Amino acid sequence: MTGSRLTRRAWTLAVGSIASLRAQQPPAAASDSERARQRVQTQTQALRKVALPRDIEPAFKFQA
Amino acid sequence: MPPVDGDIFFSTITEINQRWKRGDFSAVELVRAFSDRLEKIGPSLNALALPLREDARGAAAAVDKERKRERFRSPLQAVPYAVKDLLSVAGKPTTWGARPFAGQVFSEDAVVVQKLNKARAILIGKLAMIELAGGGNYRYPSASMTGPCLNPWDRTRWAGGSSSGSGAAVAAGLVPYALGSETSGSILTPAAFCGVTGLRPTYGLVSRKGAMPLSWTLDKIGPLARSVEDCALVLDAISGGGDAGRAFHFAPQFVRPLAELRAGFIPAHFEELAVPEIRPALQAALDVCRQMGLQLVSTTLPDFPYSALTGTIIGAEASSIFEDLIESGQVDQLDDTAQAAGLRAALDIPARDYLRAMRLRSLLQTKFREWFTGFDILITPTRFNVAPPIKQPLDTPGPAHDLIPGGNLAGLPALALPCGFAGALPVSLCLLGRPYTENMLLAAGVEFQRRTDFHRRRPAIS
Repeated sequence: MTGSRLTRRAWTLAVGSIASLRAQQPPAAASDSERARQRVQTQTQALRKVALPRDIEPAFKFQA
Repeated sequence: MPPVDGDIFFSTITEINQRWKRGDFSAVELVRAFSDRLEKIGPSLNALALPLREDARGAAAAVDKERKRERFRSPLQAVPYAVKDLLSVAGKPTTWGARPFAGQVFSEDAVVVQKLNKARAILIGKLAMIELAGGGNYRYPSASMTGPCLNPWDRTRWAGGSSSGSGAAVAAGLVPYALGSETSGSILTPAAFCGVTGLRPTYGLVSRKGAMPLSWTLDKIGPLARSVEDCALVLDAISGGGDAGRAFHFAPQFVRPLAELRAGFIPAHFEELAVPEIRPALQAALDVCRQMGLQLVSTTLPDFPYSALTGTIIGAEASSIFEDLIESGQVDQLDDTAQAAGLRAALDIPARDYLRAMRLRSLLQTKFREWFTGFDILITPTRFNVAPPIKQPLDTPGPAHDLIPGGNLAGLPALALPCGFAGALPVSLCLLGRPYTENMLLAAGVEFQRRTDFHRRRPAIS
């Protein structure tokens, strides 16, 4: 499957009023980046708390 | 020929297909009626991404010709449907709900769309979704190029995500069924909030070729529909890999009588974690399960850092998939600033953490296999809450539903069933099974819907 760009497509036909939607957007939070970094860190800490035997392989060969 | 009547919008796939076969209406008339409704109501709910009326009309004319020759191909023949805008349709915009991909066009249909074409189902539109299926951890329901998708039961509430338009469109009777996708909760949540039936298939059962990748090891595609039977018909048509896919085929399985099945449930889910206003509906649903003959057994959830596992795995895989978007700065065009920040931060997840998460996931899968020896079906509230207000931040504190990441990490199939209301808002029960036990879940779901009528209720749509 290959992707390409449209320059003059009518994709906005059903999108509605983007301007009014933008007006509904909350203001960009300066702390978004900090929150995101914190979340990654919290996840890391949670994962590292669990004891993990050396012989456990990653679930790449998915056994559903 | 009589015009298509209003009841058709809330009819099941089988009902529509039978009436078309009988000659009550043509497929062209059917497509016109559904397209009119989808294009009129869809934008007012922010549920429509792209109407496909012209192509649908051509496909409908072709199936009408087949009817004249009595060439009946599938139960889905002539029945309109729509797909989440994460699935490619050749030559049409596929935006992934995200402004940076607004003009993106692919040259091939997704395998699931090819399969539905082969079944002579008629695609009438693409539906709104949370941008990039929410892989960066969005903060608001407005995290979509099409705006916040409104819930047909109460337009001040959210339809759920990330398959938002799929849930809203089915609930509002804009399409008989829609395809959605789930990485961790994106079929079950809109199904629950919109009061429709949703099926998350076993990981690997349905080809993802032509779908936006968010997480290679978690993404699944499945139907949201008006009934369990409809979900089964759609799954039958879309499962398997297609010519180039690697997914498995859906094979009929022996289903034991319901009275022989043990159904595990976690009491705290129903009595403590679910918000008080939905508990009566959930208790009534458990009673229906008992009346069905299921033997309910109490159980407890294995202890794992569920959210940390999915957060790390989705974060690492999604940030790799969208690395060029992040590095180019185009990620800042996303509507939700938290999404952009989340993807950026995830790019820095170390390999050791991703590998640790995937190794813990191996343990989780083993533990879940053992856990499921104690019962055949696991019953849980699909969500612990009803659809939240449209402007409420999604990180508002509340109890986490660990079975959503847990079930996804283990690749389990899940079926969301409308099971009541809290005020005007739908409540949903979820059945989970071992991998590839879709038939067992569907059999239980069909019986549940034979005894209840919540899946037949309609929101007041004007």
